[in-house]
Amino acid sequence: MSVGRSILMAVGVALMTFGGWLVIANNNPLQVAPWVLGPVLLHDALLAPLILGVVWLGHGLLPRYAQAPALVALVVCGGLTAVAASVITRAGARPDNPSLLDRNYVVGYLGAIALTVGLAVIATLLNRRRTLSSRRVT
Amino acid sequence: MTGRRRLSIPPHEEELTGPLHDERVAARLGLALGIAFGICFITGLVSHAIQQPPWWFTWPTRPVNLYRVTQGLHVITGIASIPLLLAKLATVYPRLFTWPPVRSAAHALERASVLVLVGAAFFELISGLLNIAHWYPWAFFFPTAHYAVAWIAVGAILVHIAVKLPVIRRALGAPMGDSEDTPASDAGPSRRIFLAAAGAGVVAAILATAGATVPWLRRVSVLAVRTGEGPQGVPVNKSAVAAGVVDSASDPSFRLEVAGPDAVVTLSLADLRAMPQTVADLPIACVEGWSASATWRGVRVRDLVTRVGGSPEQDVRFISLQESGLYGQSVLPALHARDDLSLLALELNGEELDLDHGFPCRLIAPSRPGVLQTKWVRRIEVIA
Repeated sequence: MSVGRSILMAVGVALMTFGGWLVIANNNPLQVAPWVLGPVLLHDALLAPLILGVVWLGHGLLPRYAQAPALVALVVCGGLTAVAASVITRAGARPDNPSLLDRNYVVGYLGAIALTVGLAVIATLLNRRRTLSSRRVT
Repeated sequence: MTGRRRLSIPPHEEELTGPLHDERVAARLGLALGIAFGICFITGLVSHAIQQPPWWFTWPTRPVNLYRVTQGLHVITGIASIPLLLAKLATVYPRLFTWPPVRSAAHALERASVLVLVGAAFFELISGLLNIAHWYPWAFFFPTAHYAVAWIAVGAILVHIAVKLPVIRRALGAPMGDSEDTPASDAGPSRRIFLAAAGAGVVAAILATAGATVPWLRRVSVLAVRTGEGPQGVPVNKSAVAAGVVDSASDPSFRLEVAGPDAVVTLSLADLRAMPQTVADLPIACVEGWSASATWRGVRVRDLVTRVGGSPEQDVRFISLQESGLYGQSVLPALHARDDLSLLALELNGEELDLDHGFPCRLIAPSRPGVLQTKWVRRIEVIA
């Protein structure tokens, strides 16, 4: 391993150690640990197989011209869903503070998803027309 | 052959090693993620240092929007990291099932460091996202835990880069072209398409939320925690009810105490109104990433300091009527305390302060986090 890599490694280990010490010194590690490991388990056991399963299904079932728009739409909707999860139930809302969480997040989320899917459908139709016309030429 | 393909069970090998799982995609997503986490870490450290300043740290008063920008970036890069992290994990997911699971002690350590990296990254993004939405389904104290785990995440990123450097070099140096090695038709959408998808995911997540701090995005940010509306046109983080100050703050016999080396003076609201008033356009910029500009009017902090014999070299403590919680007081560094624009504000956007904005009087100073702009001030102390 080169000197640069060794230094990088040493600095990384030092920062991790410092962070670990901060977790132990200023927090209750038993309260923090489930929120570090839980999401990894949830992702690796559930979320990733689910999403990659959808990708695999799409790859197998969708026509070629629909695949790229579908993949883009999937990633965009996935990101929006992850972000929306924090606000859509308005779990943090307080009756004494109407300026907090002051949108209709259900409508906003569904609207954003609908827009994404709509754009993907349009892109698919354009792709299809291009594919068909190029096939006619050749 | 551009029509339907047969669904293959189990998946084709190239579906596990194909474009989606190519190291060139993984390295580029990793680079973007590294930059986003880097910005997030540095802006987070800045915010931490402003709130708990070490002796060597000073934070400038100009530009007045500086903290608004650094903390806005903190939250925006954090949110941008969510689709990036999910995309990056999707690219490397098959490696989770590497066989044999452990080849050597070094390999075991490497895998353990990846576990720590992913866990710490998830922790930071999830806790940050829920914190800005004021949703606390956990028992730990958010600021200290978010700060501690940030060091672990960044340390683990450095270790990961060190381990993977030869792969990263090779992958980033390799062309992204799709034609030569893997015919796209067999392996699904190309590497470029997957990167474009991740980019679109980032743009969508930012557009959906950044309106909380970028005014012209307010109407498109359908998932932003705040619209930017609120009493007197400014959002509220902690209401008077939540702070438990409704009675004490609306008491007509309210008096402000100002304590300095020469005197302790007691001022009524009328006394404060009778002092020279200054108007300042300053943002309120919350640690949670939202911000809003407003016009404030009130007494210069510096004038109050002078009145009790304090000097421009002294820090000033602001104590709130709010008795519970960590943010019942703040220390304004001398640099800010002597600034022309640092006010004990009595008015907001042309009206007497709303109770939720800190009536009868609140601190507003340039380039400071909202939690340190103490509301419902009852006592000001010039610190010796």
